[in-house]
Amino acid sequence: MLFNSIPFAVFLPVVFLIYWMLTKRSLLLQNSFVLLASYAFYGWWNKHFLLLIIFSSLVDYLVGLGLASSEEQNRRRLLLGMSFAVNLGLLGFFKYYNFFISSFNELLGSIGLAADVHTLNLILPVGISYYTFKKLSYTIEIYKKTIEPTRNAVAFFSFIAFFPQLLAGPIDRASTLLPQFLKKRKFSDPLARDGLRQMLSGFVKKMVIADNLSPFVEDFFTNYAQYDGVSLVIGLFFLAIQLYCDFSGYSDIAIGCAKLFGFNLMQNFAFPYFSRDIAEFWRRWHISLSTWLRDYIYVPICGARPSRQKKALNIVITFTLCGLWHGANWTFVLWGFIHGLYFLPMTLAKRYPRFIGTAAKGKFLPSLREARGMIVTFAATSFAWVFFRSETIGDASGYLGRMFSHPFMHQNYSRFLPLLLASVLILFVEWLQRNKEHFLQIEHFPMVFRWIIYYSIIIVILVFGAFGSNEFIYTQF
Amino acid sequence: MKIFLVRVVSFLISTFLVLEVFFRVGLPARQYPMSTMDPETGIRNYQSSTGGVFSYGALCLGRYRWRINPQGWNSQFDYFDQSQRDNPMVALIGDSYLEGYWSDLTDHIDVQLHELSQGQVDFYSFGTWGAMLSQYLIISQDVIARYQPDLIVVFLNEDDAKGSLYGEASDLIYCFTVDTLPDGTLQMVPPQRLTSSRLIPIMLKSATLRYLKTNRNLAFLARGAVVDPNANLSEPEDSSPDDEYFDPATVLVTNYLLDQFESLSVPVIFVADGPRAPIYSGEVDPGSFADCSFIEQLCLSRDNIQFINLAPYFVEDWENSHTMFSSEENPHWDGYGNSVVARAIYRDLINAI
Repeated sequence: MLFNSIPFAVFLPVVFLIYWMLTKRSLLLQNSFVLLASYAFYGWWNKHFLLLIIFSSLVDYLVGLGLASSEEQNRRRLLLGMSFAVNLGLLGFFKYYNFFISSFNELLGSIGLAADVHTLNLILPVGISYYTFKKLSYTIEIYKKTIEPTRNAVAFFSFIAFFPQLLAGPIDRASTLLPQFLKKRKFSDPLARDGLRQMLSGFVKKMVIADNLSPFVEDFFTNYAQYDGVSLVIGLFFLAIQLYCDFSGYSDIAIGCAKLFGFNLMQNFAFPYFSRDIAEFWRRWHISLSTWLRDYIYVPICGARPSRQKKALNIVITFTLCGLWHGANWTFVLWGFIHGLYFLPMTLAKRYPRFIGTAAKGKFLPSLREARGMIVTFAATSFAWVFFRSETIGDASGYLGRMFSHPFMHQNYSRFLPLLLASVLILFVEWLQRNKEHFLQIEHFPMVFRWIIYYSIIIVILVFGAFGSNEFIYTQF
Repeated sequence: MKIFLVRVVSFLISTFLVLEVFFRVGLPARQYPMSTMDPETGIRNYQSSTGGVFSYGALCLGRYRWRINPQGWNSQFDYFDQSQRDNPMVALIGDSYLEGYWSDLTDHIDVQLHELSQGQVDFYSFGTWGAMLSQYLIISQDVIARYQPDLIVVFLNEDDAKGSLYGEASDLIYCFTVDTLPDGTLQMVPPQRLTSSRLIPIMLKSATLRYLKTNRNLAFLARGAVVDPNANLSEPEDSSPDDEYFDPATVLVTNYLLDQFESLSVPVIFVADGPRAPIYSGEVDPGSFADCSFIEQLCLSRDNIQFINLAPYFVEDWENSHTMFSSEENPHWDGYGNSVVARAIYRDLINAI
């Protein structure tokens, strides 16, 4: 079930009302109902893959209990290894099996050997990349003894399958989210209202901006050979905004939706295009993933007191894996690798971190240094998006090559103007609200103004929104 | 919780009211009449004596006025029988192209022809969406009985022959079709009765719902209950008739219908529409719709039926003016298109009466 679909428009209010009216007396009832609703939400897409979630959740639930009951290091390692094997095994099989097989075949073919390993016709279970990481964080933290495992099976299964974040995150850690499932939720009026506002901000980003940019981006990347450099730069800008509005829109809806049920999920985007360097960008873009990778890959492989060179190498490795997490394609791997390379100058020069806090804090405009940093960071991330979006590395280099080889051909640029203006407008609004969690955090405005803003946004969605239940890009990962 | 719910409900109600005002004043949502069916004749037209503005697209472009006259047809004129009018009358019969929601009421072909005749001839327009040859015949017979015209002009379009076969036209269930009986004889099959729930017309009084259903094409709203006369219309493809396409059943049924037209008590002129895309791309010979060419061939030996092909007129006009004669959204004639067609056929019509 997609957030931007009619079934969800019916599902959400029904689940909300039942949740707060019929289950508020007991924690068990609340969690049981969340679990039921979450499985219904997921089963709407594919009921067979529900078994996969249930099975892998059961494994981690038992592993958690096993880890808690054992002090013997070998047994604990074995249990953690079992969790890794099941979680990464399933993820690897469904997501990467065909990728590795075809890459293996190509490799053998390139050295003149005929390979006869067949790929499989696999469907990628939606959300598997997200709930796998969520479950891994649970067993790793128990192994590290930073959290206690829960014996409350319903709470644990609800935590794993919680429907707002099931398809595309945020990848909340057990340490912050699981305790919320272990305490009876009380309705909070300010939290619920903020949730609705955040959902509205997500819908406008997804339906008005991202989905309207989508056909343009598709056209740019399919027919790049017909465009000149100026158009392709516009295409790059559109892609950057589309990806941001699509995924941060999803996250806003998910976080807002969770707030309606009394949960606080972690912030997943913090206005990343106002970042002044690449490190700040990754502290603001897909925060739940970047912090996961930092804590569970980068830090462990770095060890204590790593040298600058080792740090740099580990950053490159971490980001390359980050690319691979996004999809089974060399384009994603290269995209991650490029981001890893972006870190090298500042890591080797020990200039990390340079920028903390919001840009232009207390001022309307950024300083020249900040503005330069933002422009350079935006350009660098946009450049890398070309690899993220292209079907093959050849397509990506074709796009970039065309951008520079045919810079200006007097094409008709006016047709891009409405969406350029809309993109700039959303960035401008976000700039004004950059110290907030989302751009519609306007509870301090007088009610009349707030409602006028809501009406306007609803009209904008109805008039300019795309109503095709378009998929969210990140649910495909 | 209660306060929250009260707040949410109040917000939803106020939002609905704001949207209602906005989609009536700011961006006026498409208005269109309710289809009805004459219980005696089975002919479908509209609830009489209503009017409104037809807009299209998310930005509610067009904003063409329409008026359903007391006789149930979209026309600026009211219709009278022979004893109540002074002028000769030409009955124009066709589908949604003639019905004319994609052009303003004052630009319709009946108005343009009336002006060309300097008020000396009356032109009554009987356009109804989704109609085909079999339905045109039933309307022609009814029009002759009610209004006694001096000439019948039938506007042909794609699929008009093939679509007349019973069972072929699944989406044309509100039109008469022709069926072959086991003994080989043919008979007209009346259309399925037009039904709609009582709730739907009330729902569609809401400008917001109308906007979402028609201007934004959200099909889940009132799906199938109220027929939008202009839904899902795309540019017809031109092609030449071939033996495979026009099987013996189509030949039999079309000849049967043409026989019926020929036996009408007034002369008949068929006017065939032409394709759009080839003309706009500058092709001198844009071809014609398969069904129109097919009907034209079958008409060659019939004395009472004259045939006009609009394609050459469209080509000539496009070469001279480079002005599109159809809506930007679909192939329906716009106001200019109506004038092109009126000028193309006017002389032949006057000569025929």
